[in-house]
Amino acid sequence: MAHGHDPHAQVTNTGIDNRKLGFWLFLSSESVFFACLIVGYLVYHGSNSGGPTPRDLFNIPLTTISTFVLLMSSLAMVLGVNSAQRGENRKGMLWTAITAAMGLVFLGFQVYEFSHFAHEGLTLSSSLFGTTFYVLTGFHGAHVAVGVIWLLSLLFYGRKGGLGADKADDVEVAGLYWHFVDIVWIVLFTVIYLVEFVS
Amino acid sequence: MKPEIHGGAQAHVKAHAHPTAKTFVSIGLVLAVITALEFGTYYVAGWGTLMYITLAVLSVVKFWLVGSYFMHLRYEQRILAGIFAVGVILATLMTIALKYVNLA
Amino acid sequence: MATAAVKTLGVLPRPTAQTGFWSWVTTVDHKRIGIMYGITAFLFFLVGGLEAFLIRLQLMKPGLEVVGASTFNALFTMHATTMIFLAIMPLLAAFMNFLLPLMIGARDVAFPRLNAFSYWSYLFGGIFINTGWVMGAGSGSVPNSGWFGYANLTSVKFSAGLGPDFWTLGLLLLGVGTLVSGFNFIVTILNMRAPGMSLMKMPIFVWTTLVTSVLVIFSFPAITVALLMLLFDRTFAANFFNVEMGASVVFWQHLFWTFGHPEVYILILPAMGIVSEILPTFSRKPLFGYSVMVFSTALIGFLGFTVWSHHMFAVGMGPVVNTIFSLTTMMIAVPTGVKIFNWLSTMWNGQVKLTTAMLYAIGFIMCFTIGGLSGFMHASAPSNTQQTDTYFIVAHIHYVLIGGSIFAIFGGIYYWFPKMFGRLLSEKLGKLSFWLVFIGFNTFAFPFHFLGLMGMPRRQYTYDSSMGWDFWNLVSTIGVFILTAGILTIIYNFVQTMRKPADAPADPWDGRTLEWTIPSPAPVYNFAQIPQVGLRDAFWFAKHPEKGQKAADSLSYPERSQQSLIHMPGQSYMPALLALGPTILAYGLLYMRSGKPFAMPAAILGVLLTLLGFWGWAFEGEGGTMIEPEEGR
Repeated sequence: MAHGHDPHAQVTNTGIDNRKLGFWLFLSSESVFFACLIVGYLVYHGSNSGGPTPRDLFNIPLTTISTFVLLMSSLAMVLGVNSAQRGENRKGMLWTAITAAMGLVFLGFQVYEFSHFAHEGLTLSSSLFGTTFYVLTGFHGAHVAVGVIWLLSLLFYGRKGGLGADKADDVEVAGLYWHFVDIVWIVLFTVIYLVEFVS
Repeated sequence: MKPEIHGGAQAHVKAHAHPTAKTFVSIGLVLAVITALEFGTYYVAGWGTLMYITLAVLSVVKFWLVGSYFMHLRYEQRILAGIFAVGVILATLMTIALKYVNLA
Repeated sequence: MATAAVKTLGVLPRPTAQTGFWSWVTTVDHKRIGIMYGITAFLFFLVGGLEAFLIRLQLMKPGLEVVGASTFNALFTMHATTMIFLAIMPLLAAFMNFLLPLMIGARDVAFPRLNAFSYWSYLFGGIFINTGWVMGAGSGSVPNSGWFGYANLTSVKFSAGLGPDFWTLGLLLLGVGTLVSGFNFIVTILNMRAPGMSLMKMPIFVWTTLVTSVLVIFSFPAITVALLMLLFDRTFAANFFNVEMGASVVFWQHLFWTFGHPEVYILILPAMGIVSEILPTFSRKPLFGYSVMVFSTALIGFLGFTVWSHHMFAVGMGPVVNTIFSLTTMMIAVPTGVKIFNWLSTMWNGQVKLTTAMLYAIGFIMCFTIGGLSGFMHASAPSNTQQTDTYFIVAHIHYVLIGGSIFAIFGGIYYWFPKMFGRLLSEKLGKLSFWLVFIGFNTFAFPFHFLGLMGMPRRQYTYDSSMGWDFWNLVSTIGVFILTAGILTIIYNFVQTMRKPADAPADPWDGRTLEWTIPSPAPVYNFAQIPQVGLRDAFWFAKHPEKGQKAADSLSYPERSQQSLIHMPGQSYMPALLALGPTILAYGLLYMRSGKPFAMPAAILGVLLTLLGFWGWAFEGEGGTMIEPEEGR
């Protein structure tokens, strides 16, 4: 079956497209970036300065829903890449749009959570928990936001002919970014939220 | 930028079955089930360390599923998975080292 | 040569100027970018040198007041920050940029626009971090908390001025550029080598570039996070290093040195690569033990991540942790020592020619070894507690960074100047400069060993005569004057040489690697035809085949086809624009704590420019020109 073939594809020693190789190097590097932020959360865990604690604030059922939404958005994304590679231009657009929409829903949950926590007295300055929680999840949220902008830009790119085989490589790279952001959340959901309720 | 070189394979994917939409949906289903299980741990008490291990295993499995299938690593040349693995392993080791070294 | 613009498909027309100011602003040519890095970095090197000059004037005698204590803090902070981030790294980047595609037989790097973006990030970041000087040297607006910015001296409570903010934001700007060039070089090396050039046939400089780039992409995230944490503390009242809220200042040190140690290998490995290219050429012998050199380089890179806390032996991490890091640090001396023996063996029984470049390379071996020995002495945790924060450490730093990195860079300048500028620097002036630099450097830096062991602490703006430090401080400052004469000789040599016609031969040194197969200066398309490589040092063996070897086995060229037009990548405004956006954002963030009214608008403008830069980049279309190369190679 046909795969997206970029007419400008280069001949490379490894056989892998330059951009794809470069992007995996970037994702590898970003893993270390998030690890350092996660370490910041872990080393200061337990320091609440008399303010609200994780157990006071976390709403596991709600966060599970947002986690589920982000996870399913990854499914939508890969279906979009798949469609693009098969030359199903309109489906490529559709799945990309659905992914972006689900990303916005996830961000909506984050915004709700942040404002609710702030209302309960947790701020960036109120304690180490506040600092590390907002910065870690905030940087993740910022990555999601960048991803949504990227996907919307892809939709603009495909506004005339859809996202088909000739643009499949671009959709694929966007997909790699999106899945990575999802993977980071997989780790965060466990490390921040779920471990709090282990007895 | 078109270098006129002919070294190496021009392969795009390995010669074997490429995943279909059905594969992806199945993986998506598995991911949803694992998430449900993770949610379930919220209501389970008294496992102690075993729970930490369970949660770690569940998230590692999700991580691996998304990486192998959704990010296509399973079907790509090994170097890509290798590149990602280096970062992830280094990230894990750094986390452990920085968490457990004395910060007094 | 005939050129024709490729029809662009994108929203904006791609610029096509070949000469003049805008041709440099919009260039994506790795050679031009390398030259821009080199010139900018040399200017910053002079700035850092001036800062050092003032430090040495102040310390020449006890009890002087050439500069006050506040200004002195700014001077030693900026001297180190400038030399490390704005001079040495970019000077090495100049070589990596210029040479990498040439050495592997490619026409450019994998991502030419990204390459340009790295340069503009560097320039804007370098200007940004120095902005505070206009507000007054002792005002607290110049970074003044040391080049490693230890918490919580850098907190708002203890450093209310803008200095640490300029430092934090400036390094973030600089870091992005370096990080992406890491990705660029790795992809270039893995994907764009000439046919037949397997990894073990690459010049050793390419290997050091590869390992350095791997170090960059895995160590820069750590400092990025540390700087972001500090930024949030200072700008948004976060608590990452707020002791009153229960934070740990040692945590900053761990994050910083997780980056900081790989950083010193980033500073030395490319320099080792340069020396490893110069020595074989001027010994007329291949590099001794190429495979071992490659393996040692990779091992140094890997071990570089395991030693970071040797910068923290006096912090109180406990005997177990101290012992572990002592051992790992001693281990890393092994592959380094191996390299030194390999370099010596390269020269042994060779036909050694003492050109200026060769003198610097040999000077490197000698001085870097001294620096390595003092480094090894620091590795023992107990001894370290006497040496740390004294001039003994300053001695080590300067022996490895000047005697090491700078010597290699100067050697590289003399060696590759003809390829870059089409002229040969005067050997007479070059040798004079070498001896002035060598004698001046050793005169100023060797006494630091004595001063350190006599207990003189780092980072203090004056001292009392009763300490017994007067004599060696005076000697050291005299050394700086001699060194300055050497640097001025280099500048004079450069200026005089650029007045001469650009008629240097393609291969003035009887070189071994592919950059010497093309004319001097290198043509814009690098190679008229990409060669087919059969061996390591292919060019050498093509010129001087061994018994039974044919020249064509080492190096050959495919048949020239009728249609031999070369596609050159399109120029672009976007790299500079994309570097400008975050810079303006940084100026906005700088003033947010003090609530200046223009802070938020500036930040928003910065974000908008960044987005515009991204979109322009993504949608500007391929562009480029088709060039017909000159006859011949």
